Amino acid sequence: MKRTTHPLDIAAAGTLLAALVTALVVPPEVTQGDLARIIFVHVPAAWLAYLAFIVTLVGSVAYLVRRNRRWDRVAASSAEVGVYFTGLALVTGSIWGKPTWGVWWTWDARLVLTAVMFFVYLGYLALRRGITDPSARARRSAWFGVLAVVQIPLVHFSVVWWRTLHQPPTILRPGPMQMDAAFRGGLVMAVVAFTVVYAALLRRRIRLARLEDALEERLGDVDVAGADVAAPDLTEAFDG
Amino acid sequence: MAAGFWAQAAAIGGTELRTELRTGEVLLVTVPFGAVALMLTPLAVGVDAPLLQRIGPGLYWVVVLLFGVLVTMRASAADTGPQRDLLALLGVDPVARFTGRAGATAGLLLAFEAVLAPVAIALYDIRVEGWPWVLALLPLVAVGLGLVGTLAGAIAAQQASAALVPLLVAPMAVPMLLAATQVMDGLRVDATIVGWLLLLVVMDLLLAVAGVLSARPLQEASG
Amino acid sequence: MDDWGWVIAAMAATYGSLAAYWWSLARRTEAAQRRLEGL
Repeated sequence: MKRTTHPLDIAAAGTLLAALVTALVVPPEVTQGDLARIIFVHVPAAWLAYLAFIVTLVGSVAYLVRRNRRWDRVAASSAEVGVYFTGLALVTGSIWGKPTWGVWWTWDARLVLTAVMFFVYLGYLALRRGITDPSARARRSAWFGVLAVVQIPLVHFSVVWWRTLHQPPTILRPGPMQMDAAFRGGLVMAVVAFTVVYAALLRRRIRLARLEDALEERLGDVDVAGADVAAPDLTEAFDG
Repeated sequence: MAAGFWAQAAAIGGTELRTELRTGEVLLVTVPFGAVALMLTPLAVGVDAPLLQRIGPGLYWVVVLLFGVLVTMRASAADTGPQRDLLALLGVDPVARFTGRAGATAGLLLAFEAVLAPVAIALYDIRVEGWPWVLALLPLVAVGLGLVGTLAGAIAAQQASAALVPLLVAPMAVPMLLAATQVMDGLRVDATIVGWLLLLVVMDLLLAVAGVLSARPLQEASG
Repeated sequence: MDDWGWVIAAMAATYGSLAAYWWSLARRTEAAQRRLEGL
């Protein structure tokens, strides 16, 4: 049983630990107090959701151009890691929103767009699950990756426009945060730490993808058991 | 030599659950689809918090019932003619097959409900009164919908187009929809809900009996 | 729940899910490796 620890893994663990400690010890933010510490996980997660999406797009386009399966693996791996971070961004956003605004969810443009992205990612992964032929899978998911990104600006603009038309009544919400140098520094470090974590996760996920592709190649087409089985056709015997 | 009834049912149900684990169709496809449906409505009707809070529970149950039918359909699609014939040849009791399948479907529907519930609560800011009763609602509806869906799938069999089974199920889902929403409403205004819960139990029992009685005739009809 | 409760919840969700995802990746990789070596 090989246990390989890559320097990236160690860097990820180290920076993550530092980010956690910073998040907990930094003096509380002026307007939101201790609650603002949640942005030390929420903002990095949201940033990574977008980064992973871009990497998936790059991988998809690269595959369509080069037809090298390596790019397909990059795109798919980044999509899976991206689903995770998008989900995390939504969940941490909810955990922050509830005590701040009293509700788990608000319908502002950015949140809606993040939710839409989450479903697009999921669709991408579901699409891949459904196709057994590796090159067809790579090709189709690449096209979907491109199609999804083309849609995103449309979705973004329509939702922003919708929001400006229907301004919500002014709800009691705390003003924008005033971050002092320490807080801002902590946030930057958190973003850096999570980016290293993304890189480490992506690397491991790509490695897994490579193994699975190799397995697929060796095993070839394996029929679902029973697919070739047919009951004897006795209708002639009885009709005849 | 066929195994006992419950062993057969468990084997069939277990196979379906394991298939779901591998293909992830319910979790990866139908649940997100239901969640998207929940997300689309406020975009359409406007983000009026009191309005959304009022329609939230009802919309949740509508999505559960209509999209839940897709969960019941996933099995029928995977169950091709030859495989059904093979099971019959092996002496698998059609009633056991129905029970196993309905059970697995109900389990998947319960998971479907459980994952969508926090989504609905978050998006519509639903305040849930009387948690224990609501928790009892989930399996009652899951079992009922699972039974109806499995039955409808067995009846439609080869004729199943994409929308046929949902069309067959939707009218029969009306009592379940009314019962579920009235229970949740009733819990909020402190009205009696026992009648509606009883209705659900009776419906589940009737469906179970119908399923058991029709299992063998339906299988022979499609052979 | 007071502010710190929410913060802990967010941290637990984040670091817990990170660990879970990492662990699941490791397990899936191990399984694939074993299957490949077995061929």
